[in-house]
Amino acid sequence: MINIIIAFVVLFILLELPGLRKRLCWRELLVIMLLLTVSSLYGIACHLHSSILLNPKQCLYLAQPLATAFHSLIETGEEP
Amino acid sequence: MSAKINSRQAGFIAFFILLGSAVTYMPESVAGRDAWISTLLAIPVGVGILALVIRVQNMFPGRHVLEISEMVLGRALGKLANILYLGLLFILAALYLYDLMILLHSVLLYANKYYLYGVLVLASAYGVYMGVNAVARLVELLMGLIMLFLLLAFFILIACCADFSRLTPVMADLRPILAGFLYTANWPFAQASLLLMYLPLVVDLATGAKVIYRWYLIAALILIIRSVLTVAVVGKELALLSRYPLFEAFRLMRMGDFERIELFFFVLIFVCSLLALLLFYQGLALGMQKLFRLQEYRAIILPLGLLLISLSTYMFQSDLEMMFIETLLPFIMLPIHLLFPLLLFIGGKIYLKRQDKSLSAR
Repeated sequence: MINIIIAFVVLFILLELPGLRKRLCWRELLVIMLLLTVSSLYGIACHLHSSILLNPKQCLYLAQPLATAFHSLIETGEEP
Repeated sequence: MSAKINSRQAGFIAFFILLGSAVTYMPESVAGRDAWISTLLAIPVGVGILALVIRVQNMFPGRHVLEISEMVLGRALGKLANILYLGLLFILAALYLYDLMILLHSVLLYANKYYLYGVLVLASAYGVYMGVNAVARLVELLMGLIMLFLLLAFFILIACCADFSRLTPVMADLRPILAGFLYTANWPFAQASLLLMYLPLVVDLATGAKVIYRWYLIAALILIIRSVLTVAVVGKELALLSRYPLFEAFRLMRMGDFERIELFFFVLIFVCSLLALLLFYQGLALGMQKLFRLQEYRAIILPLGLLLISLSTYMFQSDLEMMFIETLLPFIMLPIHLLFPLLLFIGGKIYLKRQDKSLSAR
């Protein structure tokens, strides 16, 4: 995973940084820094097999009671 | 990057959004031998969402949906709705990426999954870099080829291995059909809402909306044929157990002395899925450009791709858990797919009425 992060950051520096330096668009730079920081943090967490960061899939689990109720209603006992 | 497309190209985009992952993944397999009925029943849901999306865009021609949302719902509520919708698109793109990685991994068994993620995202990123026009031309170019190979695949499946007695009795139990309907309404039919990101770029939407409906319905028809053939070839048990039932059906293909022809059709499945990933990736980039009010989205393509890889890896670590998560998706995603365009449609009607009143008062 670390290799992938390095490859993407290097590619980004080679392809986009010269253009960004010319345009000096701070809003774009801020968004890019935010995206790169979050993705690097999650990438490093994956590499270290750590689950310390907030997992966005937890929001999918909010639907678990509804899904359970639906499955008991249709009583197929099968999952797609 | 001049980004204008015509309604024919938008129709092809709708076709590939619908067909993209559903040609491999078959959520309605839970309905067993009646999977095709579930697919048939889910079509009105998709067409309804498509109609809402097109009407919203026709109310505010040329305006991006995220702007419409802030205009109609107010700045705070509009921003919240936009973030929620883009969050949904992000999770969908991550799911597509994961599905595609697993599909590729089932053929390239010894490949490192991180590298597979990297290759898939870089291939899609190249398409996104080329711009909406290039992607629209690509789908236009591939359309004929994909249709030809799909028809060829269906013809071979019917000729060599389909046993249509596996589809009887029909509608023996309605409950699995209901479950299949819910799953397939969510994935892929409700994903028509992604067109919200592309429709502002369509130059002839007011006159050419019929073409979009036509291609969407053609894709839906292909999905019905896929459901019929998958169950007729592999049976309802394997269709339910397999992660990629249509690919399993391709594996059973025999044509004279030719064997392993499924690899030939694997390319078809892979291209369809990659195009869907590309469309979601581009939709997400377009959405983020509007959300953060950026001049262009080019600079965020690679960071966004890296975020997709990191979060896909972090969120979906086990295939077993993934299968469980897929049962939860309709209850989170379907309401957002339905409510976001519906809210914009109702809000848009009220907004335009108020505008008319204030104009006539003057």
